Amino acid sequence: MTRYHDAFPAHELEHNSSKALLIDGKNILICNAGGEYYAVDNMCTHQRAELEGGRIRNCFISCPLHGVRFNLETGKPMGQLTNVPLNTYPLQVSDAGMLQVAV
Amino acid sequence: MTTTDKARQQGDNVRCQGTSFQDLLDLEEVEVPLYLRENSCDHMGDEDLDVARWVSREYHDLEAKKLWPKAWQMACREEDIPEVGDHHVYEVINESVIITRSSENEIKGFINSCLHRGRLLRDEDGHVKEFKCPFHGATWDLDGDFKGIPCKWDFRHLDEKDMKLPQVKVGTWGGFVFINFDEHAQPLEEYLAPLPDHFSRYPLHDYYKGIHVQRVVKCNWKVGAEAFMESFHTVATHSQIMTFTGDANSQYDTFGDNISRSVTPMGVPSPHLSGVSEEDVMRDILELSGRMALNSSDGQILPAGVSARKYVADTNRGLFEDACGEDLSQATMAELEDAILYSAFPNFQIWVGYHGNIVYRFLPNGDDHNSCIFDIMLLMRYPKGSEKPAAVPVNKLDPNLPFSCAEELGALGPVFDQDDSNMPAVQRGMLASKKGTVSLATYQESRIRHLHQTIDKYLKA
Ligand code: FES
Ligand code: FES
Ligand SMILES: [Fe+2]
Repeated sequence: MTRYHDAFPAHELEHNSSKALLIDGKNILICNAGGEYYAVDNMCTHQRAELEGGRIRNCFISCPLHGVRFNLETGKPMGQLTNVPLNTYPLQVSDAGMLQVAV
Repeated sequence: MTTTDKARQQGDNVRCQGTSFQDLLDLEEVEVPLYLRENSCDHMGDEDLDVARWVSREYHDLEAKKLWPKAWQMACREEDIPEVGDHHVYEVINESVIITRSSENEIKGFINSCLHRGRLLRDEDGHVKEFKCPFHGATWDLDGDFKGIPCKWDFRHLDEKDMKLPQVKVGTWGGFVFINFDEHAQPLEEYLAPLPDHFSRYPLHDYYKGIHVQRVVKCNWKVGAEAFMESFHTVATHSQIMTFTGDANSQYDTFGDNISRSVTPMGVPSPHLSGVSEEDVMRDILELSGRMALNSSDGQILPAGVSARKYVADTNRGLFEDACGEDLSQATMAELEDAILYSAFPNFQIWVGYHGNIVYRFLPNGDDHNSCIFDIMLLMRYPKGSEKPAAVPVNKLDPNLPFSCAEELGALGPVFDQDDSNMPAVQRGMLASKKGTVSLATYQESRIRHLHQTIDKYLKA
């Protein structure tokens, strides 16, 4: 069965922002894309830059280093710099408003 | 004013029988803007044109050397790069330019090539805070100033070199971003004249891009552009729109070297047909044109004594007023429904109108002279006082799919598919031609002759 780990309260994450944290030894990025929450690896599949702080628009995050855009829902990159998708993780908001990620 | 009072025009002023666009303007119930009254199509001759213009590699190379480096070209919409750091990669033949919003109110264009070993700096559109080359990490800021490269100790010889990213000229009009590779190019406004003046009733900079479809078409970029420069092909290619399109009564005008237009009356039957009732006109235009405010004629009944042209114009007036929250009581029927299509040399085309203006662009497909990239955009209105909707991202259609697969195009999709059934076949047919030239209709294809006369000025310069 999937085990969800508590991350932090959903209200701490502003719209179109992201925050990284270690869960089970993994560097996970939690994103708020216009009110939808997503959890992905905090590492770009192009040249391993951290994605935290990358600009989020619609359901895409742009890597701060060379700008590759990843679909936060599917992990799929756009364009030619990389074809390797990001890992995505199931995420839920608890009744108490806590973001929980299954890693 | 009649055309015969004027200087000698293309076709010696011979025009199709029937109601002309100028006759229709006489029936307008509000003041007609002066630009619609203009009627100019200077005599340009009737000589055949060599097919080499469209099919020869040498001709393409000449354009690459003498036309594209000198002409203003529409690259994107300002709204495509709304935030500082947003950028669009504009490519034409082998040129590549990063068009970026470098600060809130400034857009710059940089040659997209790293000053280290030349890698593309940006592979595609997106958003960055600085331009960092993916190969070795050389970096420039959004103003094009050099920020450094790893292992600086190995590049002391670059210290005295100008490491600023080279720029192209950038101009904006109507919310469009244009670029020019020539630093001595005349100002954009001057180049586009009189188009900005003719469009002064339509604040295009404040329209938003609601549809953007792009697809490769297997023909030279000029075959594509020319497919939208004459309404003569309506009778054979788009016969479904004849009941409401005054195709052969269209007016064609040229203004200087760069601007031309065609004005095709709508809401009137083709002079090729007879016995079309006003009810037929109304039903078909609503159902089939793809660019009226309603897409169906359900529940629409033509009141006695009202022409279809007026009825449709008034229907559009109401719906366009709702869309933009402005009073359009002074809009003419012509502006509300006719196909008034301008082109700015070499490849930018835009419709007049208060809502739903279509935009076309045809660019060479990389270095291939036998194919091109066709962009279709629709510019839309939003109610005054509400927030401007974001521009849609481009929908890049698979080259093997018909335009009707782009659902957002609605009834326009099948019309483009009809054009697409000709464009590649024109290219193939010209390659096979033993005549070796094409002939043009004197008047109805005058805009195509005008395009080529302007190209000649560039290529012979
Ligand atoms: S490291 Fe993310 S785009 Fe290059
Ligand atoms: S080619 Fe750009 S840093 Fe080397
Ligand atoms: Fe057509």
